[in-house]
Amino acid sequence: MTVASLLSARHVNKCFGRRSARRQMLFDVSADVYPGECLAVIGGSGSGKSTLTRIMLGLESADSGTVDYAGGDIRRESGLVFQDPFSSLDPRWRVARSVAEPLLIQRRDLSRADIDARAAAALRTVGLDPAIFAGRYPIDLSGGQAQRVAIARAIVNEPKIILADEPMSAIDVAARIQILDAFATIRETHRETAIVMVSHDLGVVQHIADRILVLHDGRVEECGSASAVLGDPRSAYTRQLIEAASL
Amino acid sequence: MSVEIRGLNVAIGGKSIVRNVDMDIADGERVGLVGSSGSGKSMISRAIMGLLPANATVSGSIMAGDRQIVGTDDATLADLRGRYMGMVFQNPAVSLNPVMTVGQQIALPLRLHYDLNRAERQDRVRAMLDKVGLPSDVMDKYPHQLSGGQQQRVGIATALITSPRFIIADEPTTALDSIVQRQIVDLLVSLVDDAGASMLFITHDFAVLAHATTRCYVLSDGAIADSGSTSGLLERPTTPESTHLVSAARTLSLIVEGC
Repeated sequence: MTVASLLSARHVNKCFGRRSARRQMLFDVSADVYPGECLAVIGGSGSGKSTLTRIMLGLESADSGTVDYAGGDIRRESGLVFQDPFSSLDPRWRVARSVAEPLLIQRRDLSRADIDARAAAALRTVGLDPAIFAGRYPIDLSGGQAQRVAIARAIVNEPKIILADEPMSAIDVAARIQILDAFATIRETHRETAIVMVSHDLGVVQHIADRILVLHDGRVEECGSASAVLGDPRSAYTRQLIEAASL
Repeated sequence: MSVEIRGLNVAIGGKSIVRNVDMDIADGERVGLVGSSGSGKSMISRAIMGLLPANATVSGSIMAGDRQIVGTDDATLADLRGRYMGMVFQNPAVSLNPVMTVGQQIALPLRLHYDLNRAERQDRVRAMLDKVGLPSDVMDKYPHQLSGGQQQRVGIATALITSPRFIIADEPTTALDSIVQRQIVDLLVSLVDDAGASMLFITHDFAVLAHATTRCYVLSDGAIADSGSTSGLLERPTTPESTHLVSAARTLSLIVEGC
């Protein structure tokens, strides 16, 4: 039985800039995301990882090609986690308000008590005790804690898909383990939710990805199961990435 | 140049950031300083460079060669930094001046600290660009026209143009992707060794440290929690702080059959 994809991009091309500064970032890229899977999009800086995933999530438009989503409005059914948690959290808001924000905007049908309960549950999922953290401001959080708050905000409205764009590269190595644990818990508790993780670090994605898409200079270098791409890479570029990630 | 730190304390606004730190970096040695975010790593590097914030109180001793850094006036420190010390920063996109061309940027320390004419400066900049693996036509480009890896090569060229005897690399690869990260570490190590200079390499990642240094200090809450050979600490960390950092580096290092 073949599983229908949740999100499907076909022959996507994208350029940035004008005239002489015009630069093509994506060349005929196709990719699928399936329900419940974790797809890692891997590649060096400037390879087009963020551009591709932003186009897939409807945050950017493609110059040509198609993106199909098997659901309603993808912007209402997705959660986003960015690289730097401190610039993605409002410094004037307590943790509880930041986490509850998607519900406050999108779920006007819920009571305040229900919203608070859901925000508290999301914090527990990412390993933060609401009794300790709900009342704090971002300035009172470590980098790892702040990123877990951002992840709690991304899951609070039960999205069908989570895009995490380099969620660990601004976090110190010891705290990255906590972020990985948070994603592992989400995968156990939200089995239908797909995760798209953009990263340049294979050491991180080996712990979470089911499939890996390797981008290089805007083209798909290879795509396959995590074990196949990591264990038997077809391209020289992927081998280089693997070598760089090995201790 | 050797650096000897004894009983260093740094406090900012009454809050103790660095506590009773002793460190030794021998002439020609590459030493690591590893610790989590907020452990005080960058404050130690700023203390060595004499670049602590104005509201910092500092005590103890930092000997760079035969010169005392703590308590020395700004003009003497500026001269010492310009002639004998170089620093490579974390984020080259921020540390390079966006309105200076690469050539002007790299030549700046020479203009400020050495009596050379324009042609001599340009010759040195060209030779330096070659050493860091950049073509000479990048001289006329601005930082935003370069990739992150190229920008960091410019950062390294700027730090090394005066042939410093001691180099501090403060998380120089954190902003870069993993392939470029390895290239930059290898480049720094070879240039520092070729010059016979000493280096303090600061990072939160033991995996990076293994390629860059032979000996290291582990910093936790502003105090030295462990020290020893980098390979020894990676194989057999002894204190809870170093065990925590080593196990994170191991977990996040790719493990592939046959690689």
